[in-house]
Amino acid sequence: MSTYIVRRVLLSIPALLGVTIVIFVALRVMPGDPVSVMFGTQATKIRPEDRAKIEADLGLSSPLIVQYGKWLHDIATGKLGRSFWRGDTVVDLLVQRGPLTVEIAVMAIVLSWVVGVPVGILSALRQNTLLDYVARFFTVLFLAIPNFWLGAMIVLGLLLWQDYAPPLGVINLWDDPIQNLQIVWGPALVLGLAISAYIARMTRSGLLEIIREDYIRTARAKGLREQAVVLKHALRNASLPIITLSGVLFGLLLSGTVVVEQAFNVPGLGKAMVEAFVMLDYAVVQNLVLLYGVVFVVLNLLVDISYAWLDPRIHYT
Amino acid sequence: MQGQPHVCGLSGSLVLLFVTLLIACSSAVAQTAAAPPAASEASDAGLLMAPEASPKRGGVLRWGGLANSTLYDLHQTGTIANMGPQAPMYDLLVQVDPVHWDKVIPDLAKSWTISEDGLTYTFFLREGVKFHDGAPLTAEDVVASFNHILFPPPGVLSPRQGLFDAVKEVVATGPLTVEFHLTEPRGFLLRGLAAGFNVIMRKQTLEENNYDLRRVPVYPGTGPFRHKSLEPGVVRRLERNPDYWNPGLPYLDGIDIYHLDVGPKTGAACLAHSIDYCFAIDPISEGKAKKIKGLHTARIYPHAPHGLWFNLMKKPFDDVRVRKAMNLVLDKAAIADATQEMFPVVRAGWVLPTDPFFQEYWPRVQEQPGWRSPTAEDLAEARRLMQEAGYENGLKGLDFLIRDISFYLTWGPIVQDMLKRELKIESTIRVVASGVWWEEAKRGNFDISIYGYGATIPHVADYWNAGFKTGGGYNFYGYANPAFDAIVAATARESEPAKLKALINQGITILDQDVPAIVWANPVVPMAWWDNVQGHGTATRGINFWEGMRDEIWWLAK
Repeated sequence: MSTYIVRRVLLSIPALLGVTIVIFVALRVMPGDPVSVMFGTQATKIRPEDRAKIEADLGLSSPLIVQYGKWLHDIATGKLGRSFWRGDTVVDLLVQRGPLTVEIAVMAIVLSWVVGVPVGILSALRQNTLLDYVARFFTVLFLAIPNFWLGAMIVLGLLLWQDYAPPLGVINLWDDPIQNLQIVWGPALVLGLAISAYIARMTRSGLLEIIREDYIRTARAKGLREQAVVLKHALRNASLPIITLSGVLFGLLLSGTVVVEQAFNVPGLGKAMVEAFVMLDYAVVQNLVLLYGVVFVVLNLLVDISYAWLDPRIHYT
Repeated sequence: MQGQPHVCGLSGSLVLLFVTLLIACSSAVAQTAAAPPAASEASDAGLLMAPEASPKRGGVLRWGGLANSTLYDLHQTGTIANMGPQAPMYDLLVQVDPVHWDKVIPDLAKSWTISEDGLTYTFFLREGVKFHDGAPLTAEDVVASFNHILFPPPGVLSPRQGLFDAVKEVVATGPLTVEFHLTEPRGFLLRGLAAGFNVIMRKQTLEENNYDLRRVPVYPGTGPFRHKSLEPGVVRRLERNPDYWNPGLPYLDGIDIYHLDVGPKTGAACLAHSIDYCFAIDPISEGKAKKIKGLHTARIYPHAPHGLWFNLMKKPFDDVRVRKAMNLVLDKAAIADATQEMFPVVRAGWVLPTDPFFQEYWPRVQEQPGWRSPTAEDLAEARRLMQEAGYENGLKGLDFLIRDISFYLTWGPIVQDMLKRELKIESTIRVVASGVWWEEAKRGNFDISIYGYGATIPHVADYWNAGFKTGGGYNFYGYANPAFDAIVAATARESEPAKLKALINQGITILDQDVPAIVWANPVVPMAWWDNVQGHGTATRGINFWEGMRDEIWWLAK
């Protein structure tokens, strides 16, 4: 197993290097210019010699290959570079804003399992009943509703009917749990419901296939309680694709935070990414995209490792 | 037109303000922004305090609005995103009176004199003023600060440099005495010095950072509040400066300045009382706020002409007949009204609504062709002009460049449709991000574009200079008329209202003849505050857009 993990980690390095190249090139070929963004309406006044100096200060005057090499060096040394505009480092940004996003992501994943798996089980066990139809209706509904729309509706509804808006600023769980939960519950709910729909559908289809297997019939014939049959025998075997899907969905969830944090005005990494993108803050965008890539790679590795734990027939060498 | 009566309602105070700005006041307690015909002096008549009878001490104000800037150097920026969070940490040499708003009063300069010829301003600084790092304020700090603004080193931008183009040098003539030497009189010099961005920084700070504080989030000022913490893009927290030179101020223990996008997000936070003072809310939130007990609203006026700009360096816009024709067919009142629910504006022309001369100018021109809603006669004249210019069949394939700003995106298709319908001018709207727009505009990669720029003070010498003078800071579109340039230069020198008015009228005549752009609106900014916030005077602030953000006389009632 350890050999497998080492091999997977090593294989992920070229994948991540690919991510760095794609985002680095994408930002440079994108229309727009950070110096113009920096000075806004004043940008039309910048003299060429001033522009050259400012670009040099931002590290933009070097050849692209040098800029890329410097970024890789920053990654290797853990510095991750400095925001073009804000004076702080990307590490500062991660430390400050990361906890809220991680919290939202974890809450959303937990919510998706807590809601999606039971709904999927009930839907499968009561196939083609009213309960199944209702469950399928809501799963399709939450798949269809865009995150940003649902988020905006929740924000507006609370504001117009309850005169309520979540607290402003970054409030961490360990600083003030009540206020912190007021900030994160909305985005977590919106993302969690969307993902729970995928989980419910995958659970339902997986279970429908497995409960027709011979070994399930055997388990029932042995006189096992239905609960044990479903949870111990059927669900465990149906969970492999659910876990795989969860790994993929976590990536979706990370991209979802970009939209939902904006809708709820939560100052997490997703919102920081949007702001940095709009302001062409290359250093921040590059490193956040890379971070999301790393999370995606690590998560998929964990998913693969979990297979061996869930299914003893699977061995990695 | 919504909003227009507000401006008109200000007419008395605006005229009064301008008169006081332009007439020397030798015996005044606080000097106005005038270049005097004779030597004059002004001095401190008492320290600033809240206008209310018994202001309370304590409390932390929650301020919300645009506060996420792309740089921190107040001398290099020109946006509210800096003023809101940073202005409370700094003082100016002189300031606009935050109680009465219509005069310039002492700040770090406790008094000043102006020579008879108006070419030397001598400022006497307060004793015992300290920066937040404990260093004493000296005349050298003032000199370094204004050298930063007037003579920035390479790579450092100074948006208000043009405002002080007549200042040839700033020198320290004593430990606490500073002289400004001018090449020619400037009637608005004091008002320019009082513009909120021209803060006094520490010489040592500037030198240590090579006169570039763009990426320095915290640098010491002498202001009523000190930096406490900063979460970039989220909140900046300030705390009371216990060593402030005005011993009674500030009243607040601190200010938490939250970054919220202009409009609905600030409006939502305001309605939910997540913030106490709400800078730039949307009109819908403003309407709701008016119905909520304890929440108050007012509108303030930046100096910012908005309209359609031509690329004068390209055909057919080098032909004034085409520009005039387009001007005649655009229904500017309808265009301005289209965004009132999203981005409130008032009508504007060559003279801005915040300029005292607007009250005389606008009634005179608003029913004239080109300013009024097009009549059949105007449309016929426009078509005749197009025919004369050889474009009777219209124009095709114009590149209509628009920044991705919500109200520009609303105005764009309306303008596009009017031009197509009336003159067969067909254009393709190209929406680009702001950063792209500035690049495209500067390179001349457009035919027409919706554009607006902000000025520092409501004086033609500032906003004509920036937008219409040859090589002006915002003149990216190639307008050049030496006769107009000469008039702009003359308006800067002139302090006598009648002569200034005559010059402005000459300038207007040239602009009417040349139509270098089609101006239709000036924004107004809805503000809101809960009734626990006192001392800010927003309701009477009017045209003082960049001022009044230092908050030293603000207080919380509960």
